[in-house]
Amino acid sequence: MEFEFSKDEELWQWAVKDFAERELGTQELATLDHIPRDILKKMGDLGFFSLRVPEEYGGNPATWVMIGMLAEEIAKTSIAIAHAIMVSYEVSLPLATYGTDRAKDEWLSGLTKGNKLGCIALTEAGGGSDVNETRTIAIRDQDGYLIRGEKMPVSFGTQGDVGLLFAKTNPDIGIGGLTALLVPLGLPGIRKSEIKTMGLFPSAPCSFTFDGVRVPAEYRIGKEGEGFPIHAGMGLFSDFNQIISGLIALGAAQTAMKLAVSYSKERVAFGRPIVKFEAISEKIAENATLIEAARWLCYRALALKDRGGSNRKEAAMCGWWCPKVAYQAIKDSLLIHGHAGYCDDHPFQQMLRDIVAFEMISGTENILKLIVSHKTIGLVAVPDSVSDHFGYC
Amino acid sequence: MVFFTEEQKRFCQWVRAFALKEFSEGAKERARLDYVTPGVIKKLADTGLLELGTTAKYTKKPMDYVTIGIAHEEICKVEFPAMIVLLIQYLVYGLAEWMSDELREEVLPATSAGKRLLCFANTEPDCGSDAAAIKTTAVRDGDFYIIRGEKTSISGGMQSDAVVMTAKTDPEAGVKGITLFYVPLTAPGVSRSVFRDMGNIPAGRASLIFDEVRVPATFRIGEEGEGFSKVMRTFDVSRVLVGLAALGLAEASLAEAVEYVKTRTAFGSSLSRFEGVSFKLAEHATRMEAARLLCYKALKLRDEGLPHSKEAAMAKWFAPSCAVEATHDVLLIFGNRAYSEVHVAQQRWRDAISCQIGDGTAEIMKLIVAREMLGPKFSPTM
Repeated sequence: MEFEFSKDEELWQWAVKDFAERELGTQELATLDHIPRDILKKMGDLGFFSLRVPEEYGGNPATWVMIGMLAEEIAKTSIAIAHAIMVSYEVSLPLATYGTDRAKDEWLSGLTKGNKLGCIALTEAGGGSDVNETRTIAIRDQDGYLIRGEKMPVSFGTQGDVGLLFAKTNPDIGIGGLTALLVPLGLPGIRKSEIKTMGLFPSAPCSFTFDGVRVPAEYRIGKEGEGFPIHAGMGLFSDFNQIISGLIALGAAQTAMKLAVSYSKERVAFGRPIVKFEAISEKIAENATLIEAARWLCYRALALKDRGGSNRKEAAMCGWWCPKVAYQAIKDSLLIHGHAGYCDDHPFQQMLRDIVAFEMISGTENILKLIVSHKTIGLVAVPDSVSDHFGYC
Repeated sequence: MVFFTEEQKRFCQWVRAFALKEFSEGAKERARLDYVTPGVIKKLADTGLLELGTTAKYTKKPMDYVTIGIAHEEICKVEFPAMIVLLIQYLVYGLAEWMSDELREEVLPATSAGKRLLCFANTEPDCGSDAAAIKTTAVRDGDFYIIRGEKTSISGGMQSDAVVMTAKTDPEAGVKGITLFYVPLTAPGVSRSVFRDMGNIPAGRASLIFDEVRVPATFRIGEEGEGFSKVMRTFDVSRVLVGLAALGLAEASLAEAVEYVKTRTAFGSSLSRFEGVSFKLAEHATRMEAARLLCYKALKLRDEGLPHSKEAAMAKWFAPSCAVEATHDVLLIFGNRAYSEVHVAQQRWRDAISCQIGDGTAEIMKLIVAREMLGPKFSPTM
């Protein structure tokens, strides 16, 4: 058993860290309403979007662990940019694995180079955890599909170039009727409406209305009815979403802790630095412990994936627990700063707003614990009404 | 509440109905403004809620502390930003007996009519929890004092007409050198700037800078050197009131969640049917009920003239903490929809956190509790 990153992985981590400090640490990104395209381009040039993408589309071989390191290191400086990286992979990797040559030729290189930004159009107003409720439909029309329906919220929807959309090609059946389609977001029949959020502003979500939007049949990703296994909520890519969003949250938490440590060494009360008070130092110690445990859980889940083993249980554990650990660490760091931490002179209030999004991104805590229950207890622990879904997991 | 008197129960019903009737409409929009609206202040004043005094001598409506607590909880269920207005009015009446006749005449009628808004200032850039370490000075100059220094983190600071503040009249004397003053914020030499907070925006938390501000000696409250003890005495109540305000806010949030989980369905049944959801609500209801009882116990002890510093400190760290955890979970139960900047659940969570910070950190409160339990000899030293 080894708790070591490989030499390649360490070098990669160093390169990402260096970029983040140099290019991201020097600017105010968290309050922008978009991700600056020049940053995406620079990251594309450095290969940040190329991991595990086939080489003919500009990709590079890499371990899953390396994608985790990328997300964690970037999130230490910018939660939103790390979010953009995660979502970009959630479009490019299914496209690389299940896409037709045409879809790959037209979109994959752009995503890999950071010229194009992707988004995931999955959730609808009527159904979050429950994808059975998907109402958006894609009807076969000769050599294409006609899409009708609404999706919300879609992170990066306002600025994204292409969406991976999940729609029912067979509305009469549940999740078995769900199909994934690549949808260029400039097509006629698409309307966007911006959603103002409480945080994670650069991810700028929107709601989409698709009113008879036509995409070529070759933009279908995977077979009809295979959408559910592909999608990032509970399908084959859900472990990726659960682990990577966990590492993003923990990356941010490490920065909050670092700031709290230096503040509590400098701030004096009752004649000594407040870090001399155990109420402060123990809080820091406790959060450091939890973050360390949670990080290794994430990397263990990624290492399992690299070895081709099942990581469903570990990934779902990451999904519910890591954002919780991060929330607590950031909130404690805010409170250690007192009222100063509550206003925008410090990054904590923004980080805390941002991290709440990560408490929702992989689905509710309840649904993630249900996956853990399923894996540790068995199908007996899954309510009958939900058990359909677990056939795929 | 089981131990409310008949009169307190009647007041509770009345103030609850009043808050719902007067403040339901537009509360969501008002929570996003950077001031408390004149309309809200006027409604509070018109019903006498801005003279929540306990000293019959100076108020037309003497009230016990439990009743004042009820007012805070019930109003904040609907109109949380009113908290700072209610709190400070209570504080003013708490200090009225030490004011000069001239100052009472100047302050009391105008504040109870809602025509003059006050704030309270002790915290400074270099000291918050360590309240005795203030650096602001007040130097006697004939019939005046000249005030120099900076106060920070002052709720209501931007909107208020005047401040009740601490300053050192004898910088060498430690806590015994601290004196209380009433200072009009329109006085020459006062400047202010606002903090952009993550919540409780209408409180307009501010920094106040006093650059040689002259105030009449009659604006001193109590004797020189009495400021610290007088302030600490009022803190024992204001801490509980902040706790009840936070709980009021969280009770509203919980009620909204209860309605939501009944109507929202997932996997063919309402969310409320899942234990992972409904037990979470049950847990928060339990903790909040315990916190509420603790708050009212502290106020009841005060009404009976019994020691209550420990209970007040317990209430101050525990109640806002319960409120923040509850509003956070409610936000997550609402899910994505509550991440929208106009959703009430995220607003309440952001607002609730302010109560964890204002009026004393959890660490100071636990210190007070520990000292009461262990005695000075065995307590952590400051």
